[in-house]
Amino acid sequence: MNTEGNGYTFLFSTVMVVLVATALAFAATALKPAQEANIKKEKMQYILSSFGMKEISRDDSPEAYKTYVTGELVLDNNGKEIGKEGFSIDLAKEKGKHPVFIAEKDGQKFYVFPVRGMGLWDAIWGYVAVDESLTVKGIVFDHKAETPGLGGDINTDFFEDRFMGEKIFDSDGTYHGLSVVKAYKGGDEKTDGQVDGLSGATLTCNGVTVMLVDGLKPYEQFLKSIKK
Amino acid sequence: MSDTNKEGLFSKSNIKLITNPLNDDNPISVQVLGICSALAVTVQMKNAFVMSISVIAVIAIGNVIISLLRNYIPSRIRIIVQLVVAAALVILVDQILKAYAYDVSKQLSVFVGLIITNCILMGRFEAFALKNKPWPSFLDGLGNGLGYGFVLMVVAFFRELLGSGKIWGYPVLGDPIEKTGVYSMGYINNGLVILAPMALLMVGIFIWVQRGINKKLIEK
Repeated sequence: MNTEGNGYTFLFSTVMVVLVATALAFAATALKPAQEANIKKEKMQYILSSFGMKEISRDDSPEAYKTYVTGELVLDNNGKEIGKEGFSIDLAKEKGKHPVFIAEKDGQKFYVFPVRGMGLWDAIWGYVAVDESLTVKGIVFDHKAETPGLGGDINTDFFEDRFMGEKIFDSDGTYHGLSVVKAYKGGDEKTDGQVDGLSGATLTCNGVTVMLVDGLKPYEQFLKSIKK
Repeated sequence: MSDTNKEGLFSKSNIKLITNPLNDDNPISVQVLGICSALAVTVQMKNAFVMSISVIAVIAIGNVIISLLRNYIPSRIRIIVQLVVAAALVILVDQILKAYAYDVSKQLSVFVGLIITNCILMGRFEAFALKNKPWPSFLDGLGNGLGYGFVLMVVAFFRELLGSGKIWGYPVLGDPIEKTGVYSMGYINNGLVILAPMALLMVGIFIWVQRGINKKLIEK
């Protein structure tokens, strides 16, 4: 067989490409349900851990989500309710839709707000849980590609715990959001909504600040309406 | 080259295909291939391990496929054929990781996809699988994958230990925040070790040590 002729070369490449494409398309379709389930369960895990349920494993999260998350809302940019199906909203793709997750644990009510922004290298995202006094009761961050050991530390407990008890509004009721400050001097001051940054990760922390201040802004009216 | 018809499956020359790349012909420290991923995924041992397994799988299976096709591949498009085989296998590995090892696939992110550009793969396809039978090609792929994985694990061990004070995710040096263990004596983790430049130096030190032990490798 002459394997060097033009006809054979064309035939070989055509057959090869068709075979490979079929195999890959088959694999992608077959694995898609498992992949999507992972992404969904992970989102439930984020929401659950934002109000303190960090020990739930990914496989247990759908069960726990059903038990603890009692309601979902979708708000528009002005904080007006426009829907109920908050879970399926992808912040990266759908602008102007802001989901809220309402959860109850041990008789306490939590409102969880998803936020999404840009770190130093790629996307960062988080879930902020507040109670009815608009105090942060928990926060969870994650990132796609921040530097491990520096900006990558935004998803560690020690950084997330710094937000505990911070206020989103100052004492006059003016919105200031949450921010990460380099060399923060405020110590344990909780009303200013500011926490100390991570050394070596100023750019990532600036991204976190922008994400939190801009990301919670659309919820301002809603937050005021739930305040007790 | 070895011939499986006359030799046993694990004849001396076949075993050499596995053992050579571990030391005398190591893809990273001797052939200096696949350095890019060796720098990128060696911050933690766990990631380095999954990356090694992925590369071993892709290179061994890829070598067998190329070897089976070796008499049918038109030589003018052989590089493209090799690329297609490598790319298809890498996409498969990536998809499988996303479905069944989600956490790891998140941490490895783009680097699994970048196995396609790993020079070891193309090097082995072109230099070995195109000229040899499937079984020796499989062993050669396995050996080179293992040689790559070995260096990755050694580098990752030191980077994780010195950079974050952990081994395989377990804190072995104490807690840097609470200042326990060696941290109570003023030891601090070295942030530079986490970054890529230090990985390059670590690979360099590895090559140095290897050549100190294995005198055959020293060029005249």
